[in-house]
Amino acid sequence: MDRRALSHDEVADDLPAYLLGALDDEGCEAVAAHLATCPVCQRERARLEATIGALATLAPVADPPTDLRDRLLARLDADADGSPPTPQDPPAAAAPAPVSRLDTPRWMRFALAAAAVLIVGLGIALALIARDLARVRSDLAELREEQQMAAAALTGAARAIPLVSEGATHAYGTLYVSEDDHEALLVVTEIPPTPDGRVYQVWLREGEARTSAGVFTVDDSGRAVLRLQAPRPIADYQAMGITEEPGPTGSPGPTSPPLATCSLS
Amino acid sequence: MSVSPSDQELIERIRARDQDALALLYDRYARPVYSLALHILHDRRAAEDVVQDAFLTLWQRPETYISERGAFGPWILRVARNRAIDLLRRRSRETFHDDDRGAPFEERIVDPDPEPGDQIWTHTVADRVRAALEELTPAQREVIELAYFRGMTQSQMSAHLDVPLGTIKTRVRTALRRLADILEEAEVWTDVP
Repeated sequence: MDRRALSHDEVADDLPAYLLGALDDEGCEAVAAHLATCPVCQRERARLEATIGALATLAPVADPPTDLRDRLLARLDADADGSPPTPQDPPAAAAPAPVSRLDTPRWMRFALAAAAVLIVGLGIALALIARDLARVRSDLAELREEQQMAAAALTGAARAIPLVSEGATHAYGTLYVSEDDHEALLVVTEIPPTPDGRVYQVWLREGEARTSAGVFTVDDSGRAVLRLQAPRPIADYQAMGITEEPGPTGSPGPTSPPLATCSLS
Repeated sequence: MSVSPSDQELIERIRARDQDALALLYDRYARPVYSLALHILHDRRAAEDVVQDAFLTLWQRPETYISERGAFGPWILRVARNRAIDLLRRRSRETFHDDDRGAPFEERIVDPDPEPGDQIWTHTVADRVRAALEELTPAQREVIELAYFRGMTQSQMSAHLDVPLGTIKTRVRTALRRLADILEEAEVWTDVP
Protein backbone atom coordinates (compact mmCIF):
# COMPACT_ATOMS: atom_id res chain seq x y z
CA MET A 1 0.00 0.00 0.00
CA ASP A 2 1.30 3.44 -0.87
CA ARG A 3 1.24 5.45 2.34
CA ARG A 4 1.79 8.69 0.44
CA ALA A 5 -1.66 8.33 -1.02
CA LEU A 6 -3.33 8.34 2.38
CA SER A 7 -5.33 11.31 3.58
CA HIS A 8 -4.13 14.00 5.96
CA ASP A 9 -6.17 12.51 8.80
CA GLU A 10 -4.80 9.03 8.27
CA VAL A 11 -1.18 10.12 8.23
CA ALA A 12 -1.65 12.67 10.99
CA ASP A 13 -2.98 9.92 13.24
CA ASP A 14 0.50 8.44 13.22
CA LEU A 15 2.16 11.73 14.18
CA PRO A 16 2.18 11.18 17.98
CA ALA A 17 3.79 7.74 17.61
CA TYR A 18 6.23 9.11 15.03
CA LEU A 19 7.40 11.91 17.32
CA LEU A 20 7.73 9.47 20.22
CA GLY A 21 9.89 7.22 18.05
CA ALA A 22 7.28 4.50 18.51
CA LEU A 23 6.09 4.28 14.93
CA ASP A 24 7.29 1.14 13.22
CA ASP A 25 9.72 1.66 10.40
CA GLU A 26 7.36 1.23 7.49
CA GLY A 27 5.21 4.18 8.53
CA CYS A 28 7.95 6.74 9.13
CA GLU A 29 8.58 7.77 5.56
CA ALA A 30 4.97 8.65 4.84
CA VAL A 31 4.67 10.74 8.01
CA ALA A 32 7.94 12.54 7.38
CA ALA A 33 6.92 13.36 3.81
CA HIS A 34 3.52 14.62 4.88
CA LEU A 35 4.98 16.63 7.74
CA ALA A 36 7.32 18.48 5.43
CA THR A 37 4.44 20.05 3.53
CA CYS A 38 1.52 20.21 5.96
CA PRO A 39 1.36 23.39 8.10
CA VAL A 40 -1.41 21.90 10.25
CA CYS A 41 0.76 18.96 11.20
CA GLN A 42 3.75 21.23 11.72
CA ARG A 43 1.79 23.17 14.34
CA GLU A 44 0.72 19.92 15.95
CA ARG A 45 4.33 18.77 15.95
CA ALA A 46 5.40 21.81 17.96
CA ARG A 47 2.70 21.12 20.53
CA LEU A 48 3.49 17.42 20.84
CA GLU A 49 7.25 17.99 20.94
CA ALA A 50 6.85 20.33 23.89
CA THR A 51 4.85 17.63 25.63
CA ILE A 52 7.43 14.97 24.88
CA GLY A 53 10.15 17.25 26.23
CA ALA A 54 8.17 17.81 29.41
CA LEU A 55 7.93 14.05 30.03
CA ALA A 56 11.68 14.07 30.66
CA THR A 57 11.20 15.92 33.93
CA LEU A 58 9.55 12.79 35.37
CA ALA A 59 12.88 11.00 35.59
CA PRO A 60 14.15 10.80 39.18
CA VAL A 61 16.66 13.57 39.71
CA ALA A 62 20.33 12.58 39.73
CA ASP A 63 23.36 14.84 39.80
CA PRO A 64 25.92 14.41 37.04
CA PRO A 65 29.53 13.93 38.19
CA THR A 66 31.16 17.21 39.09
CA ASP A 67 33.97 16.73 36.57
CA LEU A 68 31.61 16.15 33.65
CA ARG A 69 31.37 19.89 33.00
CA ASP A 70 35.16 20.17 32.75
CA ARG A 71 35.31 17.16 30.44
CA LEU A 72 32.70 18.69 28.19
CA LEU A 73 34.52 22.01 28.03
CA ALA A 74 37.78 20.20 27.28
CA ARG A 75 36.07 18.58 24.32
CA LEU A 76 34.98 22.01 23.13
CA ASP A 77 38.63 23.06 23.17
CA ALA A 78 39.55 19.96 21.18
CA ASP A 79 36.80 20.86 18.76
CA ALA A 80 37.95 24.46 18.51
CA ASP A 81 38.43 24.15 14.79
CA GLY A 82 34.65 24.07 14.62
CA SER A 83 34.53 21.24 12.11
CA PRO A 84 31.15 21.48 10.38
CA PRO A 85 28.59 18.71 10.63
CA THR A 86 28.32 16.21 7.88
CA PRO A 87 25.30 16.66 5.62
CA GLN A 88 24.06 13.14 6.24
CA ASP A 89 23.68 13.69 9.98
CA PRO A 90 20.04 13.39 11.04
CA PRO A 91 18.34 16.33 12.72
CA ALA A 92 19.54 16.46 16.29
CA ALA A 93 16.12 16.13 17.86
CA ALA A 94 14.62 13.78 15.32
CA ALA A 95 12.88 10.75 16.76
CA PRO A 96 15.09 7.76 17.52
CA ALA A 97 16.16 5.72 14.53
CA PRO A 98 13.60 3.09 13.52
CA VAL A 99 14.13 -0.13 15.40
CA SER A 100 14.62 -2.33 12.37
CA ARG A 101 17.83 -0.55 11.45
CA LEU A 102 19.29 -1.18 14.89
CA ASP A 103 17.75 -4.44 15.90
CA THR A 104 19.94 -7.07 14.24
CA PRO A 105 19.87 -10.12 16.47
CA ARG A 106 20.32 -12.72 13.71
CA TRP A 107 23.26 -10.81 12.34
CA MET A 108 24.64 -10.41 15.80
CA ARG A 109 24.39 -14.11 16.46
CA PHE A 110 26.21 -14.77 13.23
CA ALA A 111 28.95 -12.32 14.16
CA LEU A 112 29.39 -13.90 17.57
CA ALA A 113 29.38 -17.40 16.09
CA ALA A 114 32.01 -16.32 13.60
CA ALA A 115 33.99 -14.80 16.43
CA ALA A 116 33.79 -18.06 18.37
CA VAL A 117 35.06 -20.00 15.35
CA LEU A 118 37.91 -17.56 14.95
CA ILE A 119 38.84 -17.87 18.63
CA VAL A 120 38.78 -21.67 18.51
CA GLY A 121 40.89 -21.58 15.36
CA LEU A 122 43.41 -19.30 16.99
CA GLY A 123 43.55 -21.59 20.00
CA ILE A 124 44.31 -24.68 17.91
CA ALA A 125 46.94 -22.83 15.92
CA LEU A 126 48.58 -21.66 19.11
CA ALA A 127 48.65 -25.21 20.52
CA LEU A 128 50.39 -26.55 17.41
CA ILE A 129 52.96 -23.82 17.50
CA ALA A 130 53.70 -24.48 21.17
CA ARG A 131 54.27 -28.19 20.56
CA ASP A 132 56.49 -27.85 17.53
CA LEU A 133 58.35 -24.60 18.04
CA ALA A 134 59.65 -24.14 21.54
CA ARG A 135 61.78 -21.21 20.52
CA VAL A 136 58.74 -19.06 19.76
CA ARG A 137 57.34 -19.30 23.28
CA SER A 138 57.74 -15.63 23.89
CA ASP A 139 55.83 -14.84 20.71
CA LEU A 140 53.22 -17.35 21.71
CA ALA A 141 52.65 -15.64 25.03
CA GLU A 142 52.10 -12.45 23.15
CA LEU A 143 49.67 -14.13 20.79
CA ARG A 144 47.77 -15.61 23.70
CA GLU A 145 47.40 -12.19 25.18
CA GLU A 146 46.08 -10.96 21.86
CA GLN A 147 43.74 -13.90 21.69
CA GLN A 148 42.32 -13.16 25.13
CA MET A 149 41.94 -9.55 24.18
CA ALA A 150 40.24 -10.59 20.95
CA ALA A 151 37.96 -13.01 22.74
CA ALA A 152 36.87 -10.38 25.22
CA ALA A 153 36.24 -7.80 22.52
CA LEU A 154 34.56 -10.16 20.09
CA THR A 155 32.23 -11.61 22.69
CA GLY A 156 30.88 -8.15 23.33
CA ALA A 157 30.89 -7.07 19.71
CA ALA A 158 27.70 -5.50 18.44
CA ARG A 159 28.93 -4.78 14.93
CA ALA A 160 31.31 -6.59 12.59
CA ILE A 161 32.27 -4.38 9.64
CA PRO A 162 34.26 -5.94 6.78
CA LEU A 163 37.18 -4.01 5.30
CA VAL A 164 36.89 -2.88 1.71
CA SER A 165 40.07 -3.04 -0.37
CA GLU A 166 41.03 0.16 -2.15
CA GLY A 167 43.17 0.16 -5.23
CA ALA A 168 45.09 -2.90 -6.38
CA THR A 169 46.09 -4.24 -2.96
CA HIS A 170 43.88 -6.96 -1.52
CA ALA A 171 43.22 -6.43 2.15
CA TYR A 172 40.88 -8.63 4.11
CA GLY A 173 39.75 -8.15 7.65
CA THR A 174 36.96 -7.12 9.96
CA LEU A 175 36.43 -4.35 12.45
CA TYR A 176 34.52 -5.48 15.54
CA VAL A 177 32.82 -2.73 17.55
CA SER A 178 31.53 -3.17 21.07
CA GLU A 179 27.96 -2.49 22.05
CA ASP A 180 28.78 0.79 23.74
CA ASP A 181 30.95 1.94 20.80
CA HIS A 182 33.92 2.52 23.10
CA GLU A 183 35.94 -0.51 22.03
CA ALA A 184 36.93 -1.60 18.57
CA LEU A 185 39.13 -4.48 17.50
CA LEU A 186 40.60 -4.70 14.03
CA VAL A 187 41.28 -8.28 12.93
CA VAL A 188 43.30 -8.34 9.69
CA THR A 189 43.35 -11.76 8.07
CA GLU A 190 45.25 -10.93 4.90
CA ILE A 191 47.25 -7.89 3.93
CA PRO A 192 50.74 -7.71 2.36
CA PRO A 193 53.62 -7.31 4.83
CA THR A 194 55.05 -3.81 4.95
CA PRO A 195 58.60 -3.06 3.74
CA ASP A 196 61.27 -2.69 6.42
CA GLY A 197 60.84 0.48 8.42
CA ARG A 198 57.20 0.90 7.42
CA VAL A 199 54.00 0.18 9.35
CA TYR A 200 50.30 0.22 8.71
CA GLN A 201 48.43 3.03 10.42
CA VAL A 202 44.71 3.10 11.17
CA TRP A 203 42.78 6.37 10.81
CA LEU A 204 39.34 7.38 11.97
CA ARG A 205 37.68 9.98 9.78
CA GLU A 206 35.33 12.64 11.08
CA GLY A 207 34.53 15.16 8.40
CA GLU A 208 37.86 16.33 7.07
CA ALA A 209 39.73 15.36 10.24
CA ARG A 210 41.75 12.14 10.54
CA THR A 211 42.60 10.73 13.95
CA SER A 212 45.23 8.04 14.32
CA ALA A 213 43.90 4.93 16.06
CA GLY A 214 47.17 2.97 16.17
CA VAL A 215 49.78 1.25 14.04
CA PHE A 216 50.45 -2.41 13.30
CA THR A 217 52.54 -4.76 11.26
CA VAL A 218 51.46 -8.17 10.03
CA ASP A 219 53.09 -11.57 10.42
CA ASP A 220 54.29 -13.69 7.51
CA SER A 221 50.78 -14.86 6.79
CA GLY A 222 49.46 -11.31 6.62
CA ARG A 223 47.57 -11.38 9.91
CA ALA A 224 47.31 -8.82 12.68
CA VAL A 225 45.07 -7.82 15.55
CA LEU A 226 44.85 -4.24 16.80
CA ARG A 227 42.72 -2.68 19.48
CA LEU A 228 41.89 0.77 18.20
CA GLN A 229 42.85 3.76 20.31
CA ALA A 230 39.87 5.99 19.73
CA PRO A 231 39.55 9.16 21.83
CA ARG A 232 35.79 9.20 21.23
CA PRO A 233 33.05 6.59 20.67
CA ILE A 234 33.44 4.81 17.34
CA ALA A 235 29.98 5.94 16.29
CA ASP A 236 31.25 9.52 16.28
CA TYR A 237 33.37 8.76 13.24
CA GLN A 238 32.21 8.24 9.70
CA ALA A 239 34.85 5.85 8.39
CA MET A 240 38.06 3.99 9.14
CA GLY A 241 41.01 3.69 6.78
CA ILE A 242 44.42 1.98 6.72
CA THR A 243 47.49 3.55 5.13
CA GLU A 244 51.14 2.59 4.96
CA GLU A 245 53.34 5.03 6.92
CA PRO A 246 56.91 5.38 8.23
CA GLY A 247 57.62 3.22 11.27
CA PRO A 248 57.70 2.65 14.05
CA THR A 249 55.13 5.19 15.21
CA GLY A 250 53.42 6.28 12.01
CA SER A 251 52.63 9.80 10.83
CA PRO A 252 50.69 12.74 12.26
CA GLY A 253 48.41 12.49 9.25
CA PRO A 254 48.01 10.03 6.36
CA THR A 255 50.71 10.42 3.71
CA SER A 256 49.55 7.74 1.30
CA PRO A 257 46.25 6.55 -0.18
CA PRO A 258 44.30 4.04 1.92
CA LEU A 259 44.74 0.35 1.23
CA ALA A 260 41.46 -0.49 2.87
CA THR A 261 38.54 1.34 4.41
CA CYS A 262 35.22 0.67 6.05
CA SER A 263 32.22 2.84 6.78
CA LEU A 264 31.30 3.38 10.42
CA SER A 265 28.00 5.14 9.86
CA MET B 1 22.75 42.37 40.82
CA SER B 2 23.45 40.85 37.43
CA VAL B 3 20.62 39.47 35.36
CA SER B 4 20.91 35.92 34.06
CA PRO B 5 20.85 35.76 30.27
CA SER B 6 17.89 34.02 28.69
CA ASP B 7 18.22 30.69 26.93
CA GLN B 8 17.79 32.44 23.60
CA GLU B 9 20.56 34.93 24.38
CA LEU B 10 22.86 32.07 25.28
CA ILE B 11 22.02 30.25 22.05
CA GLU B 12 22.95 33.37 20.08
CA ARG B 13 26.26 33.56 21.93
CA ILE B 14 26.92 29.88 21.21
CA ARG B 15 26.38 30.59 17.53
CA ALA B 16 29.13 33.18 17.93
CA ARG B 17 31.34 30.40 19.42
CA ASP B 18 31.15 31.60 23.03
CA GLN B 19 32.10 28.65 25.24
CA ASP B 20 31.01 30.45 28.40
CA ALA B 21 27.49 30.54 27.02
CA LEU B 22 27.49 26.79 26.55
CA ALA B 23 28.80 26.37 30.09
CA LEU B 24 25.91 28.48 31.39
CA LEU B 25 23.37 26.40 29.48
CA TYR B 26 25.07 23.27 30.78
CA ASP B 27 24.68 24.53 34.35
CA ARG B 28 21.03 25.16 33.65
CA TYR B 29 20.11 21.89 31.96
CA ALA B 30 22.77 19.23 32.64
CA ARG B 31 20.96 17.89 35.65
CA PRO B 32 17.63 17.02 34.00
CA VAL B 33 19.45 15.78 30.91
CA TYR B 34 21.65 13.48 32.99
CA SER B 35 18.71 12.35 35.12
CA LEU B 36 16.75 11.41 32.02
CA ALA B 37 19.62 9.52 30.40
CA LEU B 38 20.37 7.64 33.61
CA HIS B 39 16.71 6.72 34.07
CA ILE B 40 16.58 5.28 30.56
CA LEU B 41 19.96 3.57 30.48
CA HIS B 42 20.67 2.65 34.14
CA ASP B 43 24.34 3.17 33.30
CA ARG B 44 26.23 6.16 34.66
CA ARG B 45 28.98 6.12 32.09
CA ALA B 46 26.53 5.87 29.21
CA ALA B 47 24.44 8.65 30.74
CA GLU B 48 27.51 10.88 30.94
CA ASP B 49 28.17 10.20 27.27
CA VAL B 50 24.62 11.18 26.42
CA VAL B 51 25.00 14.48 28.29
CA GLN B 52 28.22 15.27 26.47
CA ASP B 53 26.74 14.28 23.11
CA ALA B 54 23.68 16.48 23.63
CA PHE B 55 25.68 19.59 24.47
CA LEU B 56 28.30 18.87 21.83
CA THR B 57 25.48 18.63 19.29
CA LEU B 58 24.38 22.08 20.34
CA TRP B 59 27.94 23.39 20.13
CA GLN B 60 28.73 21.85 16.77
CA ARG B 61 25.33 22.38 15.17
CA PRO B 62 23.52 25.20 16.97
CA GLU B 63 21.37 25.73 13.89
CA THR B 64 19.57 22.46 14.63
CA TYR B 65 17.78 24.19 17.48
CA ILE B 66 15.04 26.29 15.89
CA SER B 67 13.53 28.64 18.44
CA GLU B 68 10.36 29.08 16.38
CA ARG B 69 9.57 25.41 16.98
CA GLY B 70 9.58 25.65 20.74
CA ALA B 71 11.50 26.29 23.94
CA PHE B 72 15.08 25.15 24.41
CA GLY B 73 14.45 22.92 27.43
CA PRO B 74 12.26 20.37 25.64
CA TRP B 75 14.62 20.42 22.68
CA ILE B 76 17.79 19.52 24.57
CA LEU B 77 15.87 16.86 26.47
CA ARG B 78 14.57 15.37 23.21
CA VAL B 79 18.09 15.27 21.82
CA ALA B 80 19.29 13.44 24.93
CA ARG B 81 16.31 11.12 25.07
CA ASN B 82 16.64 10.10 21.44
CA ARG B 83 20.33 9.38 21.86
CA ALA B 84 19.64 7.34 25.01
CA ILE B 85 16.88 5.36 23.30
CA ASP B 86 19.14 4.60 20.36
CA LEU B 87 21.76 3.28 22.79
CA LEU B 88 19.13 1.31 24.69
CA ARG B 89 17.85 -0.33 21.54
CA ARG B 90 21.33 -1.30 20.46
CA ARG B 91 21.96 -2.79 23.87
CA SER B 92 18.72 -4.58 24.52
CA ARG B 93 18.19 -6.00 21.02
CA GLU B 94 15.23 -8.36 21.26
CA THR B 95 14.63 -8.40 24.97
CA PHE B 96 13.42 -5.79 27.36
CA HIS B 97 14.34 -5.65 31.00
CA ASP B 98 11.66 -6.86 33.34
CA ASP B 99 13.20 -5.32 36.43
CA ASP B 100 10.28 -3.19 37.47
CA ARG B 101 7.56 -4.05 35.02
CA GLY B 102 5.11 -4.94 37.74
CA ALA B 103 5.10 -1.61 39.50
CA PRO B 104 2.56 0.99 38.43
CA PHE B 105 4.02 3.84 36.40
CA GLU B 106 3.26 6.42 39.06
CA GLU B 107 5.26 4.46 41.65
CA ARG B 108 8.31 4.33 39.42
CA ILE B 109 8.35 8.08 39.00
CA VAL B 110 9.75 8.95 42.39
CA ASP B 111 9.82 12.34 44.03
CA PRO B 112 12.21 14.84 42.59
CA ASP B 113 15.30 16.14 44.32
CA PRO B 114 14.53 17.54 47.77
CA GLU B 115 17.00 20.37 47.18
CA PRO B 116 15.45 22.35 44.37
CA GLY B 117 18.03 25.12 44.18
CA ASP B 118 17.91 26.68 40.76
CA GLN B 119 15.96 23.76 39.29
CA ILE B 120 12.58 25.02 40.38
CA TRP B 121 11.39 25.21 36.80
CA THR B 122 12.02 21.48 36.40
CA HIS B 123 9.99 20.69 39.48
CA THR B 124 7.18 22.89 38.36
CA VAL B 125 7.02 21.16 35.01
CA ALA B 126 7.28 17.72 36.60
CA ASP B 127 4.44 18.50 39.00
CA ARG B 128 2.24 19.61 36.16
CA VAL B 129 3.11 16.62 34.02
CA ARG B 130 2.31 14.27 36.89
CA ALA B 131 -1.00 15.98 37.37
CA ALA B 132 -1.73 15.70 33.67
CA LEU B 133 -0.85 12.01 33.66
CA GLU B 134 -3.40 11.48 36.41
CA GLU B 135 -6.06 12.46 33.93
CA LEU B 136 -5.12 9.60 31.59
CA THR B 137 -6.26 6.03 32.00
CA PRO B 138 -3.72 3.54 33.42
CA ALA B 139 -3.52 1.88 30.00
CA GLN B 140 -2.71 5.20 28.35
CA ARG B 141 -0.07 6.01 30.97
CA GLU B 142 1.49 2.62 30.39
CA VAL B 143 2.03 3.09 26.66
CA ILE B 144 3.53 6.54 27.23
CA GLU B 145 6.03 5.05 29.65
CA LEU B 146 6.90 2.09 27.43
CA ALA B 147 7.42 4.32 24.42
CA TYR B 148 9.16 7.24 26.10
CA PHE B 149 11.38 5.64 28.72
CA ARG B 150 11.85 2.16 27.27
CA GLY B 151 11.92 2.98 23.60
CA MET B 152 9.34 0.43 22.51
CA THR B 153 7.61 0.72 19.17
CA GLN B 154 3.90 0.16 18.85
CA SER B 155 4.45 -3.36 17.53
CA GLN B 156 6.73 -4.17 20.45
CA MET B 157 4.18 -2.80 22.90
CA SER B 158 1.49 -4.91 21.26
CA ALA B 159 3.58 -8.05 21.75
CA HIS B 160 4.78 -7.02 25.21
CA LEU B 161 1.29 -6.31 26.53
CA ASP B 162 -0.49 -8.91 24.38
CA VAL B 163 -2.87 -6.24 23.16
CA PRO B 164 -3.94 -5.80 19.50
CA LEU B 165 -1.78 -3.36 17.54
CA GLY B 166 -4.77 -1.21 16.64
CA THR B 167 -5.60 -0.78 20.32
CA ILE B 168 -2.01 0.25 21.07
CA LYS B 169 -2.07 2.80 18.27
CA THR B 170 -5.26 4.31 19.62
CA ARG B 171 -3.84 4.47 23.14
CA VAL B 172 -0.62 6.16 22.01
CA ARG B 173 -2.40 8.70 19.85
CA THR B 174 -5.04 9.52 22.42
CA ALA B 175 -2.64 9.64 25.35
CA LEU B 176 -0.11 12.02 23.83
CA ARG B 177 -2.72 14.34 22.36
CA ARG B 178 -4.59 14.44 25.66
CA LEU B 179 -1.40 15.22 27.54
CA ALA B 180 -0.60 17.97 25.07
CA ASP B 181 -4.06 19.48 25.51
CA ILE B 182 -3.69 19.57 29.29
CA LEU B 183 -0.13 20.88 29.33
CA GLU B 184 -0.81 23.48 26.67
CA GLU B 185 -3.63 24.83 28.76
CA ALA B 186 -1.30 24.97 31.76
CA GLU B 187 1.39 26.74 29.68
CA VAL B 188 3.74 24.24 31.16
CA TRP B 189 6.98 25.04 29.49
CA THR B 190 8.68 28.25 28.51
CA ASP B 191 12.31 29.17 28.14
CA VAL B 192 14.23 30.44 31.11
CA PRO B 193 13.57 34.15 30.57
